[in-house]
Amino acid sequence: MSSIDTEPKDVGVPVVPATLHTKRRQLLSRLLKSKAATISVIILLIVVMAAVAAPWLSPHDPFANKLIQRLKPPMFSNSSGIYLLGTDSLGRDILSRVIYGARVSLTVGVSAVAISGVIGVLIGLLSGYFGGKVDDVFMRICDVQLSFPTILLALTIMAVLGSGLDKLILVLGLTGWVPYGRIVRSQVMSIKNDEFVLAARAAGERQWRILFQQILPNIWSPVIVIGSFTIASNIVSEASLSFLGVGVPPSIPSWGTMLADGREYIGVADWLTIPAGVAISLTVLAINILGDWLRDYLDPRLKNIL
Amino acid sequence: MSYVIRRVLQSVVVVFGVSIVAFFMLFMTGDPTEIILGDGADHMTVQQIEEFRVKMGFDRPWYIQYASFVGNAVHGDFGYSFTRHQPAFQVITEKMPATIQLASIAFVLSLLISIPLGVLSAVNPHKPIDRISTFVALLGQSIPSFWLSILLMLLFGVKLKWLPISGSGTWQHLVMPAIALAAFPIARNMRLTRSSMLDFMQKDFVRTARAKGISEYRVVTSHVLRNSLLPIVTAIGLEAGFLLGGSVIIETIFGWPGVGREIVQAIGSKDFYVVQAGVITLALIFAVVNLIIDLAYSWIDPRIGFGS
Amino acid sequence: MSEDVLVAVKDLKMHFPIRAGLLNRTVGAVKAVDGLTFDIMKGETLGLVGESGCGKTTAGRAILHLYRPTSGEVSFKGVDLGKESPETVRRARRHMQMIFQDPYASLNPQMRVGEIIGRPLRVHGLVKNGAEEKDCVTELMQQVGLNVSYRDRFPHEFSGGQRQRIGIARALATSPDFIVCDEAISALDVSIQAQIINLLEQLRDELGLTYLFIAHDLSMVRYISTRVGVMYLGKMMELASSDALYEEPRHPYTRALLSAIPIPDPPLERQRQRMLLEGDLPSPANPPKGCRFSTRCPMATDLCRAVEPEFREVATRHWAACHFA
Repeated sequence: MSSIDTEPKDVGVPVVPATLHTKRRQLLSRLLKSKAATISVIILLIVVMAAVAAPWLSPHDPFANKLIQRLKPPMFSNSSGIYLLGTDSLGRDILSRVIYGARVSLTVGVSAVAISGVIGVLIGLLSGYFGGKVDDVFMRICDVQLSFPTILLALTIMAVLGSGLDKLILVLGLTGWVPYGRIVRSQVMSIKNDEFVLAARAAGERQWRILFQQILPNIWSPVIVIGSFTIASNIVSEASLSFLGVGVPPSIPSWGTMLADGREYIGVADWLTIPAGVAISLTVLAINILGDWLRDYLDPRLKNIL
Repeated sequence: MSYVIRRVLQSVVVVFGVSIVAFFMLFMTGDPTEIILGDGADHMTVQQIEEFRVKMGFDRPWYIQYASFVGNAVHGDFGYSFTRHQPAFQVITEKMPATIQLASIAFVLSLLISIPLGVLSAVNPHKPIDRISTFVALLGQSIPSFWLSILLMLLFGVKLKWLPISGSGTWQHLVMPAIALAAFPIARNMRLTRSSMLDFMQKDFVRTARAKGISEYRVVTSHVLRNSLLPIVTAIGLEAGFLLGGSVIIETIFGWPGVGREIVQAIGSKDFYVVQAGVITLALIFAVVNLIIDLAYSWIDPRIGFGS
Repeated sequence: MSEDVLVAVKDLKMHFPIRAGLLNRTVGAVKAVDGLTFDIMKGETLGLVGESGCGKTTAGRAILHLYRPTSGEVSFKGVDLGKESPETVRRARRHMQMIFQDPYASLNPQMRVGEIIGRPLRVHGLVKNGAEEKDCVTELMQQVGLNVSYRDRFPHEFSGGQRQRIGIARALATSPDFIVCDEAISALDVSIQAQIINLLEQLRDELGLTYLFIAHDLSMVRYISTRVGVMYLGKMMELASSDALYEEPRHPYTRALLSAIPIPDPPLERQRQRMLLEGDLPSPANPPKGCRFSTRCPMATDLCRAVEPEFREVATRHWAACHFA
């Protein structure tokens, strides 16, 4: 039969959006072309390094209270000082606490995202795929959650539970899954009637395989983008709650508790607030820029929904 | 019409959900008696604690407690504040005007700044004005509001001494909290206006309008802006929640005597009835504001049906 | 004769509810398939044609039990799968496969070709290990004329015709007896349509396959089909062997469809009398009373508008649903 040769004659290069797979290969080269994204990656690498190597990078013990050394201004404004960025109200070295603060921020940011991501993706998948009662309940929970500023919810729960890093992660993780659920649900609903899903059913695949192996790989892009934005918002939430005194305990060096300390001594020691504020703003800015870039890179159409 | 009914029912479900969250808040650690009494329990005998438990009704099954909680809440009874020595709901309602004042000024401020800036950016894409305002917006979205507050205080309060650092009473007291609260919405709405405008500028009907020789000014105002305002209106609905939630932090920093600061103080003094009352009231206001905006929105946009 | 029946369709109905209102009550139904009865013989290719919206795709899917039929039954090799458990139906799928209309939508964009073709083998436990699967996939790719070295590519790297070959290889993977080809060539260029038709024919002859070939293009259907059925608004209007249907159509709807085919011979083409159908396809939620074609039929009488004609054998092995056939 003449038409069956190993090299089909029909040609034509279809223009379709590249998949996650092909994109992974060119990710780095594309990233380096964007100046803002490159700088953001460098900033984040520094933050990660600070978090990982905090004990070696810190010039002083961030936990050591030296009341005799309290509220020392930074080295450059006081030639006799030994503290580069000065000390806080308990005489602890600010630079060391900023470096250690990266640990808390990243730990909370990433772990809470992992928790809310897993919950949100699972619920979104089930809700979008099966619809019905599961979906109704999910949508109502979304309504409630949307009408309840997350920070207020986290604040009240933390107030009852008491401060603590583990509790904070849990609370932020458990209150933050709705955005994932919503986006995954809408994505699943838009592709569950695609022919490739029907094809998998026709081939005799089991439902859970279809859900996790056929559908899930197609909806990673928005999940990744939301995840990156949520790391940033979790870092801000951690700092906000710690600032209000219900996040991590004041002894643990966190950018939020440092700012709370600085607020107390505003007008007396303005150097207290600058380093932690700069650290948190730069980190969040870098993540947001990278998130924007990632969204435009993975799927520009997401601009309209994220 | 069925849309209105459905939307109102949805709000009822929301308020119901919030009441459940606020109620069970006290049960999260097990026994609410300990939470309510706090450190005070150390000075009481076991019998005294038990009497208190019975007096407060904490010995009853949870569903009966919840029912009486809802029954009382409907009448504005959220319990008695031991620290303020007045009913918890009264504590909240007294602070409400201050919160609404701050939130609405921040709201107006955010619209007045963000929409013109967004339009300006969209009309001059990739020119310096666009690049600068886009970057400032990104910055505004990334700087936590409480650090921005501290920076404002350092600059205008401590260094320049133009504005009071905290408290209330004069219009000067409002300036910094309003700016700090509006910063994030300004940034977000500006970016939203920009991208929504750019989207519509590429639509066929806009191209047609240009081709007809309509002046660029009229194309932008009457064709592009009018259409791109719709998505912005939706975002504004969610803004109300942000402003109310954000007020918790801003009010605390600036010592603004509103509901948010009251809630934080109540948490500090373990006055949980005030926390419950505050949280439910804020959520209720938010639900009502969103309901109004959604209904108004469906009125404006014919595609969202009041009809079938 | 009955021993040769592979698929028996009896009064198959597939209605989709229309929901509306506050409580999402069912206010009506789209009667996509509204009473189909026919057999598919082992080894034959049954063509199923009709305008878009006539329910032929739904019929194909319901026959494969991808939808749970509203009523009626579909037996495969004498077993009524509607009465079996979902797990039994799932296992039975290895014997009945489908080739889809849109070669762009029917392949998972995130999967490599090798995996797309190999998955059905794994799902039904037909291979023991990765190496065995790889061999099978290689064989399948060769069988449908795909370059084996492309196994690690993604669907978007292929053209429409090649993608359809991937879809065919996937359908063949489990060595099925029966394949529903749902407009399998409609989305392709004409030159490629011929290639795919040839491939399908060759595979049928080699592997002893039975096809239900769904299409809206009558000329291609005649070429590949043993028998052809014509559907209109969820019902069969006429069913006969290809030659009988094309040479002596009994139903006015079939005649109208046939008159729309251009003849590749200028003198004859000039003489061709087109029978134009007036009006639009009525809504399948609310089909006309009596004969459902009566609103557009040039021969319709009061009888047609009042009484629905029976689907009867008007000549040997030639069925039609018309009072005047």
